[in-house]
Amino acid sequence: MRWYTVGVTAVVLAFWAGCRSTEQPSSDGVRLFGVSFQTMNNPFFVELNEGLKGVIEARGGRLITLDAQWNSLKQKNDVADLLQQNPSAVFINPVNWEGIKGSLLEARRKNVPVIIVDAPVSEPDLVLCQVASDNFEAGRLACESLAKANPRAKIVILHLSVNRACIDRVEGFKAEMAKHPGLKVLDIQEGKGSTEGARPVMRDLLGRFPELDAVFPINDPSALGAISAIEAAGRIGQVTVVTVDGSREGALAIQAGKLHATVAQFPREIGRIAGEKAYDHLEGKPVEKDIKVPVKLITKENVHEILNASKK
Amino acid sequence: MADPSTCLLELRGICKSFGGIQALRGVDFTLHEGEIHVLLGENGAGKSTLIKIIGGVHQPDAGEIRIGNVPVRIPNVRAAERLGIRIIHQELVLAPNLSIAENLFLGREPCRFGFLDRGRMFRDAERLKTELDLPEIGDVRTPVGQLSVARQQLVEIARALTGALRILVLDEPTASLSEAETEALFAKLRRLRSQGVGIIYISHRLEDIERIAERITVLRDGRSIGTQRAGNLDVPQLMTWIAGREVKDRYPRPVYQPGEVILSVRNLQAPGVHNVSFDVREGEVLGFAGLVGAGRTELARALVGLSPIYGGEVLLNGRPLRLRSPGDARRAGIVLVPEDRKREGLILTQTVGFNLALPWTRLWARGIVPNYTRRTAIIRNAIRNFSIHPGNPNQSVASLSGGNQQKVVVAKWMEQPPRVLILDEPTRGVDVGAREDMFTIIGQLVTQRMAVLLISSDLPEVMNLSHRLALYRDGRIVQEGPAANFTPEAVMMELTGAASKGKMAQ
Amino acid sequence: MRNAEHGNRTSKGTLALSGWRQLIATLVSAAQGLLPLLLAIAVLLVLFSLWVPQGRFLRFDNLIDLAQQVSVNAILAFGLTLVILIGGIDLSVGAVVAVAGVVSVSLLTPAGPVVAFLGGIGIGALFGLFNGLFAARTLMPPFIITLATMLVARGFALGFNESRPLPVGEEQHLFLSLGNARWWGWLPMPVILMLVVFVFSTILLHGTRFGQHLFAIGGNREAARLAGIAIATHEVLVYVFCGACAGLAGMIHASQLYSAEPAAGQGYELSAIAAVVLGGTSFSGGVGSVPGTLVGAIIIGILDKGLNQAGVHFSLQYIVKGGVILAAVWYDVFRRRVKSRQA
Repeated sequence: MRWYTVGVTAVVLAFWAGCRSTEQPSSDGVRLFGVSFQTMNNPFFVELNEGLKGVIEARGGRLITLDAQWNSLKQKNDVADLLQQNPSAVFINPVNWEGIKGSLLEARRKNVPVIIVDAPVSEPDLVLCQVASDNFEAGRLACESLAKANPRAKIVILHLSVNRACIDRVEGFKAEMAKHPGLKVLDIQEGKGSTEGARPVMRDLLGRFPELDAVFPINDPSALGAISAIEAAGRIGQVTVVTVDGSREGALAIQAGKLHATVAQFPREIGRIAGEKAYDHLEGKPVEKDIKVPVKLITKENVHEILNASKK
Repeated sequence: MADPSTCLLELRGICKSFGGIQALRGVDFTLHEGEIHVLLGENGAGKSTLIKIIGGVHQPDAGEIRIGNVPVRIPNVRAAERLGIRIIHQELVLAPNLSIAENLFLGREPCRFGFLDRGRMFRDAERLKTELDLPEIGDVRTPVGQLSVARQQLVEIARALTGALRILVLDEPTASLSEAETEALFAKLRRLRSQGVGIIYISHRLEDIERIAERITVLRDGRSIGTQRAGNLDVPQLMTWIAGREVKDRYPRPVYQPGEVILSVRNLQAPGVHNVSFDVREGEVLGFAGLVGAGRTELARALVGLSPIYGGEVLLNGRPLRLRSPGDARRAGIVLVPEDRKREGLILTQTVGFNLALPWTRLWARGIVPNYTRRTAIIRNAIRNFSIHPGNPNQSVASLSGGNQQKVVVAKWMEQPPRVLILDEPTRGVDVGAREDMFTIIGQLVTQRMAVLLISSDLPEVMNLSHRLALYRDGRIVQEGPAANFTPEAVMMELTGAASKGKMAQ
Repeated sequence: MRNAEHGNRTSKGTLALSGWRQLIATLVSAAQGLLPLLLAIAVLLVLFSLWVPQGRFLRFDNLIDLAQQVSVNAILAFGLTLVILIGGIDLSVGAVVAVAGVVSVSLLTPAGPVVAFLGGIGIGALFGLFNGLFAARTLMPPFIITLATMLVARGFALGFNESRPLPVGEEQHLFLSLGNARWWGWLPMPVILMLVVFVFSTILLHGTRFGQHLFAIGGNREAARLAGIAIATHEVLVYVFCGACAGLAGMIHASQLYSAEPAAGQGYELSAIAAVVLGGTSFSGGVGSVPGTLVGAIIIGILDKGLNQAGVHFSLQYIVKGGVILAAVWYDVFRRRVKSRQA
């Protein structure tokens, strides 16, 4: 009985506290923003988050960062949680560009602008804008540099086919391949976009194709996984690795001569631009729908730029 | 009494083997209406297999079962129940998480429109309790796991008596019952017999047989050896049938040459133990007689550091002991052979050798490389000194008979003999031959100047084996003295509390 | 005569009532065991109502959101409750969520929503049947069996559309309503489905002979066997039910996301197990309740939502959730020990 009393009192207290605080003015002047990333287990998104946070905090706002852990439903729930807090805008980096639709509809119902970062969506009408690296261009540049290094390369691609950005990279890569008839794709496999996902896949591919001499993993983490598999097979130096990302880890691999080239994206820049577009919109300025942040090919010649930049 | 010539159940040439091991090699057995027929035999003689065939758990490979002169097949438990066959198994088979009522109606719960009718179940259970005159069971809503073993046994019995009953099989029902409870059970069995129910009764206790049986059939090595009428019982012949050899005196009392007082307990307070004091000397067997649930196991647990001691002292050779864990007790030389050997005494999944060597890892597994020579020696000594059969150290301990398992539990402590050995119900569920071995072992240990605390609910056993006797009731010693000074009647009076009630009436 | 008939009828009526009253009494006594957990919910609600800025946590639509977010995990957990109660485990539910989503969505266009719905439930039940038959007919531990089916189911899902998400067509209103419709404008369909499964499994476990037998099997298999209960049949049915729950959850999942993801549901089995265990179901079997599981799922949901909205760093969220599960189960074990000592 005593338990009952305590429990009932607690619930009553809770609701009282809840109701009382709703009576307060709904805005204390601080603008709230939220961002949901597909994963935070990737330095790219950590950087992007930093860029976003920098802009928002510089203007006196507050940013809540959530990690969807590759789980679409968690992302949907996370976004719902953010929307409940009446944010000024929500940034989403979707796990699954189909699966995010429900969240976009919800945001529209609540009149909250959504900015998609580092990935396109299938429903451009539902979002304010998308800010992403020029992934098609990135794939193209990677292919170009590979063709220069090895015009007769036998290539495997480590894909992450649920991710639109990666699909664009591969499409850019293939588009460029058309100009270099000497290049040949042996196989396309799922590398899961992560070091631990790519390593075993690459190991198997190396076993299957003795003639394999180039690989295009769609991002730096999977490139690192591929490199470790190549090292284990004793074929380092025989297999040219080109990728997209331009993380510090990638740059170090280039410096060590294990990675031929990576196409640098500028996640901090993506974050910064996304944040500014949000403020532009809130201030009533028009915002263009599709913002491509330029990318840059990084090879041994200019790798120091990345390393110097990331030292800060 | 119903006409005893009416044949209720007849088994002819029943054979059964499990994976090449022949458990039954042609058993013949008849049960009349209104008869209590005792089935005797050592563990492994095939009694359990036989009753599982009667109960529909196993199917015979060969042979015929007739009920009321009609050949029947008993394909499953439900079929057996429809034929009016009920079995009370040796191991308690109740679901501890369910209430008494739910256990009583397990597998035949009352339903209404497909939904469980708990109200009716509880009412029926209450009615059944009154009908069967088993008020001791208590509130039918209590989870069975909270009941004592004896009360669980009563629930099992009550469960067997629900519904139409023609044949009742009891597998060692009195193993965990006190004298009074046993008498109450016998009264019920006699009443059932007078209603024409045929009863098959399995027991190791000759006392039971003398009190209740009409006929006795002995099973050995999967064969029926012979049948006697209770009217002209020939005990030595029965024993020979059971063991396949001559059996000597039933209770050899150990030689009594008491030494110094080794263990003194002064005003001990522990969970279930209220202000207990006693002394025990070297070379002495101190018997703790009492009813099941009197609190003797609790005393044993406190003495080996398994339950906390709230007050009082335990002195070994006059020096106070700190008993906070079984390790403390063992270092002091106090060892307990627990009541439930399968759960507390053995690692059943392991071999005989593993179990025997386990307490002595500090002797053979010091440093990096274990000393297997030492380990083998420990195991070989134990097997030899306690004539554990079969003596293969690599045999799984679960495959041993109850008696030999019990020997393993005792033998594993004897590499460096303890000074005080506590035996909690050492002969429970143990066959006649192994029981004798157990008595011999106690005798040997006593001559080695060990002090033995013997806890037993078997009154003749505890009275005949002990040098001194402590009568134990409700967590207290109510009377203590040389065993020879007690008569069974007086002990019974004291243990049931009848004596003190009598005094109060005066 | 008339009077007697009348009397008879009323007595029948009260008897029927008393059966229901007994079920309610059983549930109330189970709920008393849940009081500490309900208290924990109350404490969490107070905590988050104060912590989340502007008291947004206890607003009605936020709580409705909470119920919706809990629903998929709760449906999985209801099925798992029965499995864990009989001493089993099903690790494959997360992967079955993906398979059921993929199968039902791919059936939508060619066969229509009804067939798709039945297909989703059916494929879940099929995997359950597979688990159940292996668990009941072989000596393999369910942990290993369902670990294997988890991999099989995952591979099956990934192989369907070259591992790409299958979008649900805009025109599939019926299927999309599974995850997105709101009755009377506020009550989400997944919550209704969750409540339906809740009521069904509560009655199944606590109100029928079948459920009674599950408690017996979990408490003492041998006792159940000797009481003539067909253990294998019960075991198979329990796994089938669990699989069907996973199938339903998979379809809600796909509907909510407007697409079936082959990679969906990874790790869902662990969240569901956490809800079951939080709700007081014993891993050794024989003890547990469906309402407890619901409460467990709600606690996990409140933690997820509250920590998100309070802006707690996601790394800290893991630690808090782990700590809460540990504390709750530890408390449960402690309480049970005290109880058994009193007895």
